[in-house]
Amino acid sequence: MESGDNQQKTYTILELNSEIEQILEGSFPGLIWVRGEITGFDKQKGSKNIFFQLQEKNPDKDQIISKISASIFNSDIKKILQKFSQISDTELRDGLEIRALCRIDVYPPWGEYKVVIKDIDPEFTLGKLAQTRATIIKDLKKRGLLDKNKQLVLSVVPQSIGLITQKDSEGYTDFISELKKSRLYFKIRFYNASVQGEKVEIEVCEALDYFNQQRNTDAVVIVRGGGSKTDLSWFDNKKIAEKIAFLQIPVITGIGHKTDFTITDMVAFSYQQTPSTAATFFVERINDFLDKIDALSVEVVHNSQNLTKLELQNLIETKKQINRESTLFLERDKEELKENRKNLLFYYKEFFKNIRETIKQYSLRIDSSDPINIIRLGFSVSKVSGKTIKSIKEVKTGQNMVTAVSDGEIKSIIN
Amino acid sequence: MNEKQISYNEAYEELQSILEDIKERNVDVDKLAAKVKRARELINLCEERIKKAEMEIEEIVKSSPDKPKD
Repeated sequence: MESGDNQQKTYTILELNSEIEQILEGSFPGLIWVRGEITGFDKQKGSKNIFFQLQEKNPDKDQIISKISASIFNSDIKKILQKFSQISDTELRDGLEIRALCRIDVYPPWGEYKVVIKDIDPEFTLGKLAQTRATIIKDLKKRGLLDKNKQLVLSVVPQSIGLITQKDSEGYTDFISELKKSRLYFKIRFYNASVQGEKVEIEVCEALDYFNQQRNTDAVVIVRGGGSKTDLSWFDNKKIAEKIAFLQIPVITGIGHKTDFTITDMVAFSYQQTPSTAATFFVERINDFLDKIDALSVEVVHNSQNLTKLELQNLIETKKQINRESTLFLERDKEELKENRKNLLFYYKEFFKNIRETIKQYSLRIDSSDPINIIRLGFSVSKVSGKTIKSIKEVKTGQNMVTAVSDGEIKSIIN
Repeated sequence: MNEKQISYNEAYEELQSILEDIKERNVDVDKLAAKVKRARELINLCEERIKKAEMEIEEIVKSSPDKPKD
């Protein structure tokens, strides 16, 4: 076996690599389209020739299943990057999925092969970005996270603000100077975080966590300024969106421009177009409150003035009633008194009239029993020795008898 | 009772109840004059209180800061 092996063709390394080169380049004679996710690109930016990788991930597990080296030659860099950013509004960077026109290139001294990119299709990346974005939005919506932060209650006077942005960036300056212009008092707590590049996710999430733990701000604002309109896709980020959704503090964003609307904007309590308008949002809210207070104070004054007027009217009315009623009271009493007196007089007369009648009756009755009246009728009363004679047995012959008649006495002797 | 301690509402309620008593003839004639006198006192007290409140409100309105710019 060993001798047989010796007679078989034995390649030197270079021979082998050179043959592989021929086979590969023979199999892929022209340019081919390859799609994959860029990685290791960002650190190469600005180099003469750019060397990086394209990779493929298992879509479900976010796990790399295959990788290939890639490069763009110095002569092509400018043209490719310009075209890409112009059409896709995004700069070429790690994490982007691209569709690239390339040539298979083998480098025999190292035994390596790679793809040399000659052109990139920006439309593909745009589609992918939109697709990713749509997937994230759909997921957030399904989990009810799109409106979660909006359901929080923002203070009517949000003076304490947690500011998340890049220190000394245009966004930072714009936001602060707009607040200063208002001459209102604000307390700003600043947390430095990248608003561009791959650190956006981790740093913005850290900042959000920080403010959520501190609980010393009325609102958190994420701003990102500057002229560059590109790379807003850093804010089409699922983790940032989830963080905002579960935050206990209302989040206000000012990270885009007039036409841009990121997922971060979507889940925020309030979305403002720029850092300046984000600042205006706070200023207006406080001014609204101050206006309301002023209107209320005017209303309070009006109402209290009306109240005193009303009370005074009530009092005057009561005063009149007291006067009227107390006079009426006495009038009525006087009237009653008069009535009583009249009654009294009547009864008094009746009383005497009755008495007189009764007396008359008595006198009549008394008259009838007076003996003088009987004598006048012809009856007489005889007395012997002063004693009235009622029977013949009471007298004896020879006795002197006095008989009283109406106009005198008759003296006689009994025989 | 010290009149300073009586509140406007208390005074006004007493006033109303005096008025009610007079209307209902729920008063002894001997005490009517005293009741009316008391009512007068209460009316004066209430008037004073209202005037005082009015003046205070006016003071506050005068001393409040300028209206915010439009």
